Amino acid sequence: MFGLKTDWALEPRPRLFYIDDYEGALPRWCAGCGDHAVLGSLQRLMRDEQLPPEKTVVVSGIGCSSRFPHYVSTYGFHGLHGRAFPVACGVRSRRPDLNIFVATGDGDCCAIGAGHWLHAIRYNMKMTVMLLDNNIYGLTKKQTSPTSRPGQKSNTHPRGNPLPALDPVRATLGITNVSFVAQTVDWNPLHVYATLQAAHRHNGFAFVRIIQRCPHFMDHAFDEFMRGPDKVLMLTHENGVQVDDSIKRLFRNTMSHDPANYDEAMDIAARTDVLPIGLLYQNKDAVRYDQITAAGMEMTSAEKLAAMNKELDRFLI
Amino acid sequence: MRVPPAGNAPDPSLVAAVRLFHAAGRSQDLPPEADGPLMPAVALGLMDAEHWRASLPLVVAGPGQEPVPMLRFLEAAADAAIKAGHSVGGVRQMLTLVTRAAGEWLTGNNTAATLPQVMDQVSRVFPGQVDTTSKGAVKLRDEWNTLRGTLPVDARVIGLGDETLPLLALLAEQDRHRPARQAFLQEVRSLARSLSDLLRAERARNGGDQAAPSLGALAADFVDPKAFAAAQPAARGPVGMDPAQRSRVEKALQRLEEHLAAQEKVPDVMVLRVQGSTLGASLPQSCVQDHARPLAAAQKLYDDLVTKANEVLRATRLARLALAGQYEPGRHDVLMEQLDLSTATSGERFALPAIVVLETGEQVRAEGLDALAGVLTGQRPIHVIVSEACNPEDIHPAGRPGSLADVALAYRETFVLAGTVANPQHLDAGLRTLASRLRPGVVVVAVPKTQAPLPAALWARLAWEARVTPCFRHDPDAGDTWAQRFDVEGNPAPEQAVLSRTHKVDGAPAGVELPASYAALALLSPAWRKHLRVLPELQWDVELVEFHQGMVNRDERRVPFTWAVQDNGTLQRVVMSNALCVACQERVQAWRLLRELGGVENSHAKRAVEAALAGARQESEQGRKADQQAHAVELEALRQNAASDTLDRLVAVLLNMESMPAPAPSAPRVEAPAAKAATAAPVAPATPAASPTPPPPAAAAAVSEDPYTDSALCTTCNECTHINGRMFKYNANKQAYIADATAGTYAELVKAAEKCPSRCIHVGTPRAGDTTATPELLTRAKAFM
Repeated sequence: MFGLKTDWALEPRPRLFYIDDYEGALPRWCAGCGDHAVLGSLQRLMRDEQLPPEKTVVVSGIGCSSRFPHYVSTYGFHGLHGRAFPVACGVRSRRPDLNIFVATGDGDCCAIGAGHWLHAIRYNMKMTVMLLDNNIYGLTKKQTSPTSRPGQKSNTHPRGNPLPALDPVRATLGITNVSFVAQTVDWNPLHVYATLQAAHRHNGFAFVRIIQRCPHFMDHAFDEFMRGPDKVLMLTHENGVQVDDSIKRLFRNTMSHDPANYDEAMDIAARTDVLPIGLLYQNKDAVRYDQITAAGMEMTSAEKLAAMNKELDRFLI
Repeated sequence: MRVPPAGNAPDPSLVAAVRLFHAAGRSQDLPPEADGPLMPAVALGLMDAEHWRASLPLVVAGPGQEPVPMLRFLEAAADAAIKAGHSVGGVRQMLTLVTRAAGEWLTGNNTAATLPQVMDQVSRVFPGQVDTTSKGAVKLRDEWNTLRGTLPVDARVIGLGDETLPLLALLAEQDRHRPARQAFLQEVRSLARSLSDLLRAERARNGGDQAAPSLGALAADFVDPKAFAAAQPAARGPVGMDPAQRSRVEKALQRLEEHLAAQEKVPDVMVLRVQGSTLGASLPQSCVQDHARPLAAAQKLYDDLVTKANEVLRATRLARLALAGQYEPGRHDVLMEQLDLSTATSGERFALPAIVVLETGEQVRAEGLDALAGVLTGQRPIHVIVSEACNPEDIHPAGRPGSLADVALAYRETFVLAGTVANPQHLDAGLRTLASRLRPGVVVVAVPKTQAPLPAALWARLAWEARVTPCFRHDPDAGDTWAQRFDVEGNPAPEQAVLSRTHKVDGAPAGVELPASYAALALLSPAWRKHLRVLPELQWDVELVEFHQGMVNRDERRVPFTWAVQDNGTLQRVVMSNALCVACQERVQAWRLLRELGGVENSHAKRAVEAALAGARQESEQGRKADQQAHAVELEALRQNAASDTLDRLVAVLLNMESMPAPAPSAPRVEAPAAKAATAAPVAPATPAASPTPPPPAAAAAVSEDPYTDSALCTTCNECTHINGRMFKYNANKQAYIADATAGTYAELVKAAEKCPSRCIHVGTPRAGDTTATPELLTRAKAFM
């Protein structure tokens, strides 16, 4: 009578997704690779947030970590080297209804894609960026990357890297209109999950650097942090990454840090004695370019044509 | 849902027509519209998950257990299953659907069924109602079967229907009376046994039965045992009863045995109903009795029960005294005659079967209110359970028949409960309280029956929220004053006169306030239909006022309206006639009266508080003014005297200058002892005299023999599953656990632990007979214990 079903449910049938619904091809990463932990955490996040696979897209560039789209059964775009961000921004501009995840590596993001990276931060379009940083080019068999630490030996620098490493966190914090910067470590999947969850819920460009081991080419590179929990500084705050007490027990070295405090975030990022993990900075009020590019999306073709003609009519003599 | 755009300037003729419709009910000047009920906008979105968490159906897990809302019960079961390691996370999210499907099936069929039956019925539609992938559907089905397997098989589910009230009432009375009856029967059984033993001993003594074996076979030839027994002095054997006492004891035993034999057939609860009534059809037939006039029959039945109970009570008292050898005929015979149930303990009074009269409101009125009054004034613990119809056709311009709960309130020593199936927890709690009271009680419950135009559950909730079927309870045992006896708990937001919800709609960012009022119910009532008129969208600029706002400060020029919703989800304004406004106001006033009685909002108390506050303010203001005046006077006096005082002092100083002593050096500051103590160096905390030595570390940490994983820390790297895919498997979170420790060797376990990047594998100790557990391997394994 009222167009309502007898069970007065106006909503369509509820949908339910399991973790299997997000599993794509069998991962071809090396056994023990940190990418597995990130993939598992991301799939759990998608399941827990019940993201419809057809409303989710994973975009990547080139590299080990950029094989991500193959292993997640959502929409995916395995793009050009360094060009994950332009593709993701394009998707965001035309399809603001999608959940966008960007998987990129230290070479893909911080070397060849650095220019796109900076502007994507400034655009502040809503997406979750996972920078899987293993300090090495793994796919091409061990070459120095921008984040390789000084002295680190590789095929390109057999006597050790002569340059200081680029810090992606400080670099991101330094860009105008930055809105979300966090850091986590792959060997604690619970923290990875909590950080990705906070990033996904952020309305803007959420940049998460994930320190990630490469057991094949960079074995033991992060042992000092893995074996020495005191070398890791966990940032806690009511507005930060919310983690379980069981995780807090693993990291005895904690610090309360308000993510709204930019200066303190810069100071923490600059520390070399410890590896900070958690949410360093968040600005919920930063301008979002995708809200501007999405203007007029609801217009029909006829309305667009009419509006264009109206604009052109202004130039009639 | 959206709000249509505002229209043009109002058409003066339409304004006049709307006002005429409101004042005189004339609608011919208004544009025609289709007949049929309108959908109240507030009805949308009432059935959220929170509703199901506190609503029907109810689950009774077992005998003596209180009913629990089904959604909560299933959620607790799912949580327990998850804790036990079962994977039921997906079905846990969909339990609202399950509950809804169960509620619909029960309403359409039996009202009550066993939990396995309900789950089987629901499984026919679930998980088909959930949209999943094919893999997800298989998983969901597996989870469903897992959860189904953990549920108790003897649990019962009670849904919304005609039988909801009878079933809940029966459970409440049974739970109260059954333990008391069983305890009393046990005592009667024990007393009867003891009396029987006493009489057997008495018979033996008198008959010389005990003397014969004592004398032996040889003596029996020349000594008569009876004569021998009779010749013995009384002090050497059991004291014999006098014939009168023996007769009393025999009668008491007979009475107790008759009672025991009779009680096997007597149910714990006796339900009386009108002949031919279908109410209570689901109750056991052994406890239901049909009568032409059940209220009168209940009184007679109770009186008969009391007559018999008095005899049993005397028999028990006599038995106790006789067994203790303390019965004194001179004293106790008189007392026994006066003994009746009023002197019994509460446990003995509850041992009587509960008497419940089960009727509809119409049946009670047909039998006559004098019959009800007879029950309520009779001091008999007869509980009258009334199922009052509450359907759209009962919302009528002629008004509803007077509520029987209101009538019962007039008998101030009666327990009264007004409830609704929309709040079954309040109803159940009230019924259980009533079951524990030994006084007359009336329970009046609104039970909807029709499924159209709204489902019964939704209609019941709407009527409850609109205060048309409010809940209240009057319990004379709770205290002496109205404030202690009467409460309106169990109503949604009792502090509000009109409950309203904010609904998000397109075009109105702040949302629209949709009140749940009598007007919302009137939209669905055919009798009120001609008092309501949908106003075309384009004429919304006519001066209107929302009904519940208009009540506060009524502007006669503005016509009240309420919100309806169209098929396409668009809100409509529906103007109301004056008659409907009056009916709505009557409900609001009735609700205000109830709130005042319940002490939620009492206008008298408010006025008293305001008066007290005003008095206190006035008093403090007067005090302040008086202080100010006194201060001003004092200040003026000081000013006037200050000059002369100063001059006098100066003259005195000048005159005595030569004799003035030299100013004394300022006294050295002496620190107060307390200050010294405070500034002293902090004393080191005293060492406890007998400082307990820390407990020695456990001799050996209790290490589990079996291997295990900290699955939450697993990084899903596939190392262990590559080593042995049968030993290590992934759980629902895609994190590894040891599925079968016997599926591989200890060497594989240790190898997996060494490879694991998160070190979450703990190898335990090797199984007996595992040849791979060499000393070298055990040394390696130590790091992963």
